[in-house]
Amino acid sequence: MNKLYEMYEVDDRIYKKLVELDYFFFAASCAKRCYKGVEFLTQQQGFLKDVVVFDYHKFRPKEFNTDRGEYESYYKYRKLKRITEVQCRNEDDAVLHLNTMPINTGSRVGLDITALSIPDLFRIIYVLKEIKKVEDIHIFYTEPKHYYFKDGLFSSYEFLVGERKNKPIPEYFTSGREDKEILVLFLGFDRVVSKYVHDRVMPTDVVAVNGFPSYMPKLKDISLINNYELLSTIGKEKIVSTKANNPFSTYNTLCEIKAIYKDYLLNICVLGTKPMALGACLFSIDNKDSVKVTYPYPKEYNISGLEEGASLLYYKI
Amino acid sequence: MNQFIYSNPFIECTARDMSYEEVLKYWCSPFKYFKLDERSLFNSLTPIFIQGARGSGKTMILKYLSYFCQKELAQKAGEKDILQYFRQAGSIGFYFRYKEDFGRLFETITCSTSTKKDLFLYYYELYITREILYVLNDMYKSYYLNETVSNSLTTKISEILALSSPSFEDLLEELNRKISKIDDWVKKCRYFSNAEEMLKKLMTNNDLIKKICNSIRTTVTDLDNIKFMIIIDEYENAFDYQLLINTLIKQVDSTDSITYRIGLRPGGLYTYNTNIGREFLQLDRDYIQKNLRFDTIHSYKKFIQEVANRRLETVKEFRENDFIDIKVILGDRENLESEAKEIVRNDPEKHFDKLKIKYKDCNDFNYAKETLKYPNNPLIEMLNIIWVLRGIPIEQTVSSMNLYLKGEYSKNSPEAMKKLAYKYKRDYVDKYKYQLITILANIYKTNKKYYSFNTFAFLSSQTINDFISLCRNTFYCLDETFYNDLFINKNDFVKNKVIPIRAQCKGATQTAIEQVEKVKLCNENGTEMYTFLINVGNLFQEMHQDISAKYPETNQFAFENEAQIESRPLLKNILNNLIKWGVIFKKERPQSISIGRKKGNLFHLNRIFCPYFNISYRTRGGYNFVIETLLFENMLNNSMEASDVKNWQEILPKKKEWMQQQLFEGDLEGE
Repeated sequence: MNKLYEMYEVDDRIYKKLVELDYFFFAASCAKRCYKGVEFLTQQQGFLKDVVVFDYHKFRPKEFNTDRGEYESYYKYRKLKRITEVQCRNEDDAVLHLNTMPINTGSRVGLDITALSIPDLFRIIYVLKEIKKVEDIHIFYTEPKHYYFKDGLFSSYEFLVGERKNKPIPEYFTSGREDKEILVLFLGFDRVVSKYVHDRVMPTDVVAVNGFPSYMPKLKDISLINNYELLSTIGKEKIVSTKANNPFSTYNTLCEIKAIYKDYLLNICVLGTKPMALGACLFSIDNKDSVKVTYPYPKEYNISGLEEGASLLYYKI
Repeated sequence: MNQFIYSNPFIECTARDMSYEEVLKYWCSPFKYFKLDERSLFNSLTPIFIQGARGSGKTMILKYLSYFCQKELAQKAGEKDILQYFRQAGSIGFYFRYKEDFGRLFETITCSTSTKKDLFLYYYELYITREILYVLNDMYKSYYLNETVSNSLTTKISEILALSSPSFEDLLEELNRKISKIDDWVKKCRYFSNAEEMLKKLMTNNDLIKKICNSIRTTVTDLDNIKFMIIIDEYENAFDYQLLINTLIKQVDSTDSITYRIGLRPGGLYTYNTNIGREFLQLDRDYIQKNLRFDTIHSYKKFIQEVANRRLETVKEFRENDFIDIKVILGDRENLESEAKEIVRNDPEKHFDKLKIKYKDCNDFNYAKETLKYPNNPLIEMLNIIWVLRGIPIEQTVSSMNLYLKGEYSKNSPEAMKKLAYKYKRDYVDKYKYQLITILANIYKTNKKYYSFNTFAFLSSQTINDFISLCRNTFYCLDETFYNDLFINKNDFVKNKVIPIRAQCKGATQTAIEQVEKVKLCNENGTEMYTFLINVGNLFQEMHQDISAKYPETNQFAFENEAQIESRPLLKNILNNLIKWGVIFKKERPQSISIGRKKGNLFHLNRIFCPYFNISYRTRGGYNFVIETLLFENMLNNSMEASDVKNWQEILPKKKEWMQQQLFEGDLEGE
């Protein structure tokens, strides 16, 4: 618990503290903020050696949205020099590519998690940490300036659209030692999803984790309101808070939950922010035998948000 | 804020998250209600499938059958020889639940189908073995097994598992390590080139369960004649791998004395196939099926009252203040007359404006309005309006009303007016009362209210969990003032301890919204199911608001050609999913699909959705909406206007013409 950590907001002064990177990975996206990290780092002469972009077809803009600037935004990566494209048509393509790369323990690896889906984030870090045994990973993340709400703030955030299939992330499947299972659900804004996950997992117990403080103060309330169905079912005693943009805070929160629910298998499901997912990911890797990670995989993603970025954050894990 | 507000006795605590002790704490025997024979549940060698909708009480029953619950019961009953108790019951139950994510895991594993099957079966063997070891360990710790017997048993089981553990606890530890190794393979298999070979080396033992059960029987004298009952809950989560377990079920015989109790949802048995040639599972030969359906609404109401009251009793303040009978707390039944009065309170004559359809002249309209008035009961007024709009003269309508109110009506009376008064009574009491309130609510731009124990019982469609959800959301609507008035001030308006209608209605609506939204998320045709639900709901809503009340309370539907749907895999699959996920219910027995029509299956929406659409939760015979296959397809894929659904026959030719035109224009563009 309370691990020492490094976390900065990256600017011209701070970047000098960072090590040069042998590999830098990021994902293509329509959201403008997703290129903030790679653009900033490529401006620094010789800072990045090998840059790899994961072009996840599931995030590509829809054919009929050509006039909305999403194409231009998505394929912005093609303007970057000396970059390797990895076409990810299937769920496994990114991690299998990563597995074939000559990365080793001492490699200096950077990863921008901004545009990664939460399951992909978990899987990539698993390969880097558990298969390639990379010692330090340098993570970059650009916070959003706004979220995309379709019809107003209080009920309409839809990042993951429609049907969900609740599945384990395969690299994080654990049977557990007993039948007792606690669902640790990091709340997001998508309405009713948390309740849906709870219904499908059918755990022995549940803890809902709300991100606080959030990028905007009101977001913490919106996430509570949009998760009313779950929270009213489980009762307020089962809600805890963690810092929304600090993976280390998430890690510590999970340590506390684990200390309370000693004999339980922790079923972690992150519907919240990427930094929360990052913290949960590190915790899961450190507690393999008592943690599994599941996720309600959507049929499709809503990729219409041309989100702008706020600050660029750096974490060393 | 008042502390009582937080004591919501209906906060989630379903059977799945209950410990075995809690199962007994909340246990209300459902056997008599479901006509289940408790004895045969314990001692039948033929496997029993317990089928019931989500929240119908399957898990509670299955956990109750397990060793740990039975042991608690035996202890509470002062039983000294526990093994003898099990011997008399006929079996020892080992409870195991298939989690959805476990079933789905196999979709993500990259290896051959046969390896996946082997892996599934191996996991099954390990998981059940672990449950058996938990039971044996508990028997040992509770001194039901003496040192010699347990030593002998651990030695035998160690051999079977190829381990060398001196105690049950060590065996469990070793077994967990075995499971962990397999988990590890699952995590990393896609990153190894020789993954399948590695797995084969890990899966060293087979037939574990059979061998272990056999060694128990031969080692523990008291259990030499006992059946080992493997209880598998949520069998639907085994997905395609049911075939493997089906094979074990098919192979049940008295030699091994292993039997099964399987809990599953309707439509949750995906295959009857087994691994034995062309053999398949046969009902009443290889297994018995028990459906968890209450015979009557009356018996369901009795059961949920018992369940809810038990929960209320767990809250000290409720217990001390005698706030523990759900039937009293919600009120027995709704009162439509007072609800109607409440609707028209601020504008008692607005509904008469509907007469303007018939009476354009101001004087005629005023005469009609004044004559048809009956301020004591706006529902009666509404019926008068409908009669007059249907062409019955004002005077006859009023006379019929008066005779009905005086009780002077008769079906076989020689007096025509008394006969008509009888029809008036039939229309009001038996036919239209509910429809009248929805029409009235629509005119006043308000919603029908859903409240009372009877209403909640109907809304929950025999799903106990849904009844609990309705109560939970209602209790959340209670504020500090209510509890203060009830417990501290003991105010008059709450002296009869009924929760305000407003709170009940809000709770019911919240539950309905939640359930509708969840349909959309379901991974098995969620989008299509949601679209169909909304289309059907909107249709019924429009029919409920129809001022002519042509088809009162229509809330059932049938398919014009069910055979055609069955022959089209996609439609068949969606229809099955609609039933499986409780979006619609199929009536048990075939009936006329509508007035004067052929016999067939009737369906209705899950009644929990009724507050969402403001429709009736009651089932009425007579007219049902009949859906053609093409319309069904459209209702699955398009958000339709209710009028387009209703008038499908009329718009169909235009639609076909439009489709052909599109095709033709498309061809031209192509050229």
